[in-house]
Amino acid sequence: MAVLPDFLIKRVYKKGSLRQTEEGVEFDLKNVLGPGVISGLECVQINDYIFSKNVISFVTQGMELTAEIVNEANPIHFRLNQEGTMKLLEKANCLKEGLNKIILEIMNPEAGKLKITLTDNLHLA
Amino acid sequence: MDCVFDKYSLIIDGKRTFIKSGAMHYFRTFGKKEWLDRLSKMKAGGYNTVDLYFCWNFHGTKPDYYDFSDYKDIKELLKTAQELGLFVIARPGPYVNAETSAGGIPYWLLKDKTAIIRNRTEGDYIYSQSYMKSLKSWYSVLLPIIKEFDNVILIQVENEYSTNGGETEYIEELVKIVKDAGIKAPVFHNDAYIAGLYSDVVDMYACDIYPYINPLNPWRENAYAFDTLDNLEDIVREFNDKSPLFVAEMQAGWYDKWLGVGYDAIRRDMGYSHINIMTKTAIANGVTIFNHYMTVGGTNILDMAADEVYTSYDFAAPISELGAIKENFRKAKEINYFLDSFDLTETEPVTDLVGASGEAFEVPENCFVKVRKDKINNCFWHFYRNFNTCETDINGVSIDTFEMKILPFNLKLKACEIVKSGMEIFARLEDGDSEAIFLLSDYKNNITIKDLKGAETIISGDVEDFYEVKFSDGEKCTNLIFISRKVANYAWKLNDTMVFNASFVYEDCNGGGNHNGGKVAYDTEREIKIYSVKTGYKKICAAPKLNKKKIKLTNFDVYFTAPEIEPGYDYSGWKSVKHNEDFTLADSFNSDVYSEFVWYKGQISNKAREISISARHIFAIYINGRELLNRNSYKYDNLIQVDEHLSVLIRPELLDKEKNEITVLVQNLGFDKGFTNDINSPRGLIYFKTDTNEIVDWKIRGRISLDKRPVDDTQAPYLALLENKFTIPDVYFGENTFAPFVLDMDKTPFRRVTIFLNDVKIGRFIRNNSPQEKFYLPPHFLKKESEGENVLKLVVWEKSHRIKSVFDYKNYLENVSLKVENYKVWEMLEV
Repeated sequence: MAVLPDFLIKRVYKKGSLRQTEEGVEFDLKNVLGPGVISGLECVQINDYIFSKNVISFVTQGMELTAEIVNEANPIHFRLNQEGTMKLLEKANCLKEGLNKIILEIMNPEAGKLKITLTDNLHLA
Repeated sequence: MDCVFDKYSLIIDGKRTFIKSGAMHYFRTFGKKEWLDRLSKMKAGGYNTVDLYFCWNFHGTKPDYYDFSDYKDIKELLKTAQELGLFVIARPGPYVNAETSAGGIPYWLLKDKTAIIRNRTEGDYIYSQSYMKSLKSWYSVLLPIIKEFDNVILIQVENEYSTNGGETEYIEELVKIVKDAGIKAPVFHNDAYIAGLYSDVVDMYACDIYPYINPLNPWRENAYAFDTLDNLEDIVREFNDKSPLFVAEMQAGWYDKWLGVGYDAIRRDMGYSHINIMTKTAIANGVTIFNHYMTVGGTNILDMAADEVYTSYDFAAPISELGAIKENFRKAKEINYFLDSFDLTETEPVTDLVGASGEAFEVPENCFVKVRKDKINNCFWHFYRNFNTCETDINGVSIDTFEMKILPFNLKLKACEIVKSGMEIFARLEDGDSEAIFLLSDYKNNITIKDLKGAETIISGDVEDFYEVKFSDGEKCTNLIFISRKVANYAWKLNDTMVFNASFVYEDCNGGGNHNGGKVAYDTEREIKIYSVKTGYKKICAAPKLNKKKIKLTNFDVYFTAPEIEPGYDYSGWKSVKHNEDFTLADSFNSDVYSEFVWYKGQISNKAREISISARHIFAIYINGRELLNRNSYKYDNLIQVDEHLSVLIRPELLDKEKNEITVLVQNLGFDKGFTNDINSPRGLIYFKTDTNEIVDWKIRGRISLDKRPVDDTQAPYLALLENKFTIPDVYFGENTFAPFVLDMDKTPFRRVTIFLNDVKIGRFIRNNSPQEKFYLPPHFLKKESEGENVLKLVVWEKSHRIKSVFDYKNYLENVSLKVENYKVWEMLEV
C-alpha cells in the first residue's frame, strides 16, 4: 500500500459532492495532487453498502469508463486539475443525514492498491 | 559563507547564485581518488554544487559507534568538494531512502522494540523517545563535521517525510537540533508530494520531482507525466512565496531493479531529451536551485542495497557507475554552461505570449511555452517544448520532436543585441570588453542580431562548425561562434578557455576553486582545439599510449566452503529460533541474526514427504547433506514485492535415517527502503511446515564462513569458493590515466555468485534476476602491481541447471575462465 498520507489524498474529493441520483449515487473528484494513473476501480463502499465493480463508472473529460474495462492496459490518466464524477449505478439506500463514510479502492500501477477513506456531511431534504 | 535568500534565489556572500547541483553517493563511490574524479567531472560540466546524503547505517554499525575511517571519511569528502570550489547541499537523514537497505536506518535500531522508526507506524505519527535518542546521537557526531565546512550552503532534515495527520513536531525538532548545532545554512525538507508539507516549519521549501518511474511505460507516450513540473511555479507559490523555487531532487536518471529492464534500456528511453526537458521546464518555472538526482552513478557494495536493487546503481546517471560521461551529462553541461553565461536568478513569468516585435503567438497542441522577463539581463527568455512526434513550429521557430529550447529575446551583448533567436546559447567566454558567444547552430532556424547602431542582420543557422560573425564597436567586441551540438558535446569550459574534442577535462584547482590550468582527456588519437577570447585557437595532438588491459583468469583454486551442509556438522552452539504453532518462525532479525546469508539447521523424521516453505529471498534446502531445492523466491507483482509460499516433495531416498538433518540456507537481499512500507519486514526463514506437522527445533547462525576446504572433502560442493589472483600494472592507476576495470561474469556457468575483491563484498551476480553481467571493480579496493596481488573470491551457490552431475560440476569449477578488463582507457594531457 502506498504511503500517500491520508490528509493529502483526501484532497481529491470535492466536499459536498455526494448525492443521490435517479440512477444511484454520485460524487466528484478533482486531481489536485499531480498526474496520476488509475489502473483499476476495485470497489466503492458508502457507509455499510458495498458497490461492486460492475456498477461503478467514472466520467471524465466527456467519457464514461466502466470499472470493468479499466485495467493496466487501459488505465485512466487522471491529470493534474482534471475532474471526474464517480457514478455508482445501483439504487441503494445508503446515504444518511449527517456524516457519510466513503471508501474507495483503486489500483495504481506503481503503488498497488490504494484504499482511500473519505467523509462527507449531507443534509438530506 | 553567508547564505541568505529571497523569493528569487540564494544569495551567497551577497551574490545571487544559481544552484546547479548534482547528487553523488559517497557510500557508492569509494575513496578520495574516486570522489576527486567524479566531483572534478561535475565541476567541469558546470555544476557548482554537490548534493550529499550522509548515510547513518554506513557509519553507525552499532549503537553510539561511528566509523568515519578510510572510504567512510566524510571530512576528506567535504574537503575534496571544498578544494574544487563546489558548494555542498548536506542531507544527514536520518532517513535517506536512496534505495539503501532500510533507507539508511541502522539495523540495530530496527531491532530496538522501543524505537518507532521515524516516529511513524503505518503512516500514523507516534513520537518515540528511544528513536529520537539514537537519532540525536547520530546528529551529534555528524553535524559538527558538517559545520566545519562553510561551503555547505543548504541542509536538509528528514526526507520525503509525511504522516497521515501531517503533524509537524518531529520536523520542527530536527530543525531546532540543526540550528542549535550552530549550522547557519538554511534548513529545508524534501517534499515528495509537492503539497507544501512542512513549508512553514523549515527555512526553505523544497520538493522532488520524478515524472518517470516505470521504465515499462515510455515517458514520451505520457505527456501528462510533466503536468506537475509544468505548473510548478503556480503550485508552489500557493503555499510558499518567501523562498526560491527549489527542486531538491530533479530526475536525471532512474534506478533499475532486480527483474528490471537494465540500465542500457533506461538510458535508451531517457536519452538526453528527458534531462533536457526536466531542467529547462524547471527553469521556465523560475527554479533557481536544482539538484540532478543522480548525477553520479554508484555501486552497492557490502549490505548497503535495499532489497529491490542489484549491485549496479548506475541510475542511468549523467556520470555512469564507472565514471564515464554519458549523453545526459553532455546535455546537462550545455544547460549549466548557459546558466553560467547569463544570470537567470531574478526572473518573473510573463503571462502574455508575445514575440520580439510585440506580436502575439499561439501555443501549438502538445507544446509547452513559457516566457520569463529577466530583471538582471533586461531581456526575455522564451522556453519552447515540443511533445509532438514531429517537428513543430512555435512562434516561427522550428522545434524538433521531444526537444526543448531556451531562446533569448532582446538580449544585449557587449557589441550587439540578440533581437530574437531560434538557436540556443551554449556558452559565453569573456575577456574585458571582448566576448565570444557560442551558439548551437541549427540549419532550420535563424538569429536576428542588431548592432549597436541599430542595424539588424539575420544569420541563418545553416553554417559550418566554428563559423564566426564579429560585431565590434570601439573597444567592445562580440564574436558569435556557431557550433553544432555534436561539437558542443565534446566542448568543455576550462577556466577562461573552451576546449574542443576532449572526452572530458579536469580543472586544476588550487583550493577554494582557484583555477590554475588543467587536464584534457582523450581515449583515441585526435586533434584537440583550445579557444580563448584573447588568443583565438591553438591545436594540440593527442595520442593514447596505453591499450586496454585484458586479464584472463583461469586455473582458479577451488574450495568447498559450506561444511554446515554436511551431516554431523556441530551446530549445538547456534541460537534457537522461536517457532510458532502456526509454523511461522521468528525471522532472522528477531533471532538476533543479521547477515545476508543465514543458516538454519534442525531435524525431521523419515515420515515426512512434503515441505511447505516461505523464505526471503533466496534459499536452498539440504537433507542429510544433499540438495532438495534451490530456489529464488524474489518476486514482484505490479512493482510490489510479494511473498512466495511453495511446497516441495521430499525424495524418499534423502530420508535415510530415523532423524534426518535438515539445513536451510537463506540469502536475503536487504531490507525494504522504507518509502512505501514500514521497514521492519521479515527476513530469513519465515514459514516451514512438513506434511507430518513436525515442530522443528531450529537453530540459526548468520554468514557464510568462507572456510577453505578441499573440494574433494565433500560429495557435492554446493557452496564453492573460487579464488584467483591478478595484478594490474601501476600505469593504469597513474595521475594522468583514468582506466576503470570490470569483471565480466557473462561466460560463467553459474547462476548465483557473490563476488569479493580483496575481501570486500563488491557484488552479487544472479543470472536471470538482473541484466548485470559486468561488475565494476572500484579502484579503492584494487591494488596496483607495486602494492601486491589482487585476490578475487567468488562464492558460487547455484550452478547452471545444465550441469547435472557432481562430477561435471567439479569439472566446471576447475575450468572457469573469466575476464578482468578495462571498460575504456582515457589518458590526459596537462594544458
